Amino acid sequence: MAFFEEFSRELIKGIGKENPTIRLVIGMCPPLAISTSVLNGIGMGLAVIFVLLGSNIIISLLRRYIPSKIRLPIFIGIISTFVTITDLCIEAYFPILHKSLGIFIPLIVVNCIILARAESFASKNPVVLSIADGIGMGIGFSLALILISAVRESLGQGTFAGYSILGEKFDPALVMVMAPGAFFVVGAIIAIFNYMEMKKRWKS
Amino acid sequence: MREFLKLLAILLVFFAGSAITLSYTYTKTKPIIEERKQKKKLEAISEVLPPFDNDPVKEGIVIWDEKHGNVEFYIGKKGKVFTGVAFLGETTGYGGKVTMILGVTPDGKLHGIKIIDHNETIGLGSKITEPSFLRQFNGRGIDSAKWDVKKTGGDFDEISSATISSRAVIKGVREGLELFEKNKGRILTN
Repeated sequence: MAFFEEFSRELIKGIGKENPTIRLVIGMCPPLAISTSVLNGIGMGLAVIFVLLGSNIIISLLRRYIPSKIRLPIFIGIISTFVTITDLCIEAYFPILHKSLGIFIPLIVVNCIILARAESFASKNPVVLSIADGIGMGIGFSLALILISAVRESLGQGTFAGYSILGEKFDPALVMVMAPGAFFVVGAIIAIFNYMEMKKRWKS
Repeated sequence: MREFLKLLAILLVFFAGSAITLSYTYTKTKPIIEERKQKKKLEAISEVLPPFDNDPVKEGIVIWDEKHGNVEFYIGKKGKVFTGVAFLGETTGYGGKVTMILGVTPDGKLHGIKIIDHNETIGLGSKITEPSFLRQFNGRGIDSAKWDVKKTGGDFDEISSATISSRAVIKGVREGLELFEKNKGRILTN
């Protein structure tokens, strides 16, 4: 029972209080760059979950055999292996997604969420907890990404995942799908979550 | 020194493992990726060429041009008669490279054009892929149009707020037609 509690705690922390995008504000490149449509957000989220899960499992399994002097090259090597596998598989099976995510799939290698989890969690904890950590962080990242891209796509193009939701009369604010829109939306979302957090603290 | 060798050996083992994994994935996915690329190429060719009944890729030729490098010309024939030639064109838009495929009839007129790849601004420059913009190039020859947007005295409608992207396509089409005129002899005798 205690084990199950620990497992779910590691799982939930990535979604809530340690959410990489909204709370820790790390790995901000994809949330800013590819959050122009919900499908992009979902695709990127799944790719990151896969890489994070894979690298966490392998690093946690091999943590006793990784000398601390050369741990970073080994972490990066393992992460980039998973990223390349993801890149090839997306190109083979989801070509449309591959086209719209483009360079940002290979760039997952340098996404600091993944290296941060390897360094601060997977290399110090057993496999099962690392799985929970990887899934939780991945889902937290994906949810934030989907939220940002949902706001940007609906305001910027009047659609949600490609379907028109705001009707013909809605005049899309193109700035939302351009680079400045990403900063507006990310900033506003972080502000809202900070406000909610503070309100909760005032009450208690 | 001994520690150095030990660390080196560990690194080698890790990266050998990753190399094996990657080469396996590569051999599994490569054929699928290649097959789809070929299929897509043929689809794009049939979209811009007049009807043909041969295999334009097989009967194509590669011509070296000092401005464009090696260009592959895909030749469409119907009943042994040359109906048109398709080739890739490149131009620089607002967000970088714009790749298009052009279909040209033997008299040097554009038969069809399709944008294959671009990085233009979504919602503005990205409208260069729409048929309503691209249709205006059909039937134009190199001498039968002023190759600029209407606003500066040319013949072509521009996409509002996307003059750079519109001009890029116009320039790409013009250069493509020039390339065809220059190498017409070699393409037609093929």
